[in-house]
Amino acid sequence: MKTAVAIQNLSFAYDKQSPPVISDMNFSLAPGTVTAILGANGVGKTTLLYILLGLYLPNKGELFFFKKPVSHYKTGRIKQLIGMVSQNETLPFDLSVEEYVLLGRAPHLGLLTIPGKADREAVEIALATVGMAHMAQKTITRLSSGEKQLVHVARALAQAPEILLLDEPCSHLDLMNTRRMLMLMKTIAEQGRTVLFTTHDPNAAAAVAHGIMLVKKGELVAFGRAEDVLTSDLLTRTYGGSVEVVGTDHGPFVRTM
Amino acid sequence: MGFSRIKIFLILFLTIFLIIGSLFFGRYPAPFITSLSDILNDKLVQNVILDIRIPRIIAAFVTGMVLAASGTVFQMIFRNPLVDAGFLGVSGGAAFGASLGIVILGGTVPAIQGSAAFFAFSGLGLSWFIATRIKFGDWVLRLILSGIAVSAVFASGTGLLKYLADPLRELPELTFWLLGGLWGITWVDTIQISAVCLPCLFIIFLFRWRLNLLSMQDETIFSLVANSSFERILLLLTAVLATSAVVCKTGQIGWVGLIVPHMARRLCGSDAQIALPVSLMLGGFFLLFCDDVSRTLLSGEIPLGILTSFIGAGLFLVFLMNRQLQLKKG
Repeated sequence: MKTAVAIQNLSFAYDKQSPPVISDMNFSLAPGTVTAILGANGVGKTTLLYILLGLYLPNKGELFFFKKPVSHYKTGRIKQLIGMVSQNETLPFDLSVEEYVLLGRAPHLGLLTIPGKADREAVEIALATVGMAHMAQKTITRLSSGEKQLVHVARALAQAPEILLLDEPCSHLDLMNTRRMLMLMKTIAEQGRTVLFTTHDPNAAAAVAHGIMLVKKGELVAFGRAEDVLTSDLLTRTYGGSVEVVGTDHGPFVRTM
Repeated sequence: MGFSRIKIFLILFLTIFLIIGSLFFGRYPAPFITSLSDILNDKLVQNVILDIRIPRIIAAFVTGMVLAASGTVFQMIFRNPLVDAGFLGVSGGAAFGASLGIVILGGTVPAIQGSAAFFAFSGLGLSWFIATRIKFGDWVLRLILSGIAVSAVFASGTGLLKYLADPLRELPELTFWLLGGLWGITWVDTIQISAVCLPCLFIIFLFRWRLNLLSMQDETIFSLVANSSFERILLLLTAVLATSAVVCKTGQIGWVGLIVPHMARRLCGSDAQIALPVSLMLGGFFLLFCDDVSRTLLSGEIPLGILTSFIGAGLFLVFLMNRQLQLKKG
């Protein structure tokens, strides 16, 4: 089986005194899939994404991309391979949407290269993919939060990454924009990229994800298909409060009592 | 894009017009405008233009470019439209270093310049270090607070040196420093300034697109840039080196680095690929204009620093009251 991302026995702590944020975690993700990470606040979801990005180095364990250990890749290559949209990205200066998305081309450009025609085409495609092509000349700080979030994803797509990490891409989004974001993740995976995102909404996860991870205190409680993972028992264990799961024609539906 | 291009050409045209015009401004042989016939016929006027006005025009323009470019670099790397060399302890450090050079270290040119550069770097380093240690407020606030505090410490040191200085020999030189100005600039000074500053400006210009990248939040920069620390440090060192190179010749010239990059962004958008070159032109234009006024308006020179602060701070107030100053949200 092909794998895009794999981690083995991975542990991470911010320093030696503090308890591990991620402990002894193992999983692998196939290319062209969407995976959701569910878990309560502060269980290490974001930390896990930053470890995959390379921002934090694991204390123990190994990280593989396409079956090769991360040390096999040059730093510049990693930047082409992995794109990330953090939660609440900020911008001090108001670039236009097009200028902003163009920044995603950086890993493909030399240190002093100014982006050219090919890069602008990649930006056009990325904006079209997220459905924001008509907004290219707009100032980014004037967009709504939903539009901003789509533009951040477009920036990551312009990077042409094999692996896309999204930290709570649907937070602050209204119903229709959430739907839009979820459909977008599906589209991106259909292009063969691997999408990994964190969310607080199990139903959103169930709607698009091929696989769902339940994380509690840095440990993987369960990882599998929505039907198998979104059970009352497992969710109650993950969140530490009683959770009800109702079976519907479209799969499991999660609610708290 | 088309509209932007027209604005750039207009700025370029006005800049060239001002540079040529500056040759004719002055107080010799008559106040304000030197006539063409004087220039063609009077040998002394020709010497004034060749040996005094031209080096001074070049020095003013380069100084303006450097202050604007380093302002742009500081604002983008610190993600803070409210900083410039004056707010970050760089100018304060350079002024203290130069005063130290004049009063304690013997007043030789290398002592003054070396000491100014050293303390300019120290000022930036200290401001940064203290900002990371403050436990409240966001990054914008912390950096400004620590920069103001560091500048104030340097200012008190400079005050002490002023008190200690020999009133006949050292004090006039010190006072010149603190007010800022380009009088007495010779070809040698101009060549020395340009030799350091033009390569620095060229480096900053080469990185103009990267500046956009470096103004993103840390995680985003990390996901896009292989070695961002190298780029940040290179650009900061370049900006501080160029700033201290001009400041140690011209003294403190405030507000240019703050207000000019802001005007450039207002005129042509925030993309540093365009905003940086526009800043360079506007900075050169602004400083040359102020210097023309400072040497022409009155029979004695008006210190340049007073003029730039007056005009710069005035514009800043206008921008603030019109809510045109964009500050980071969140």
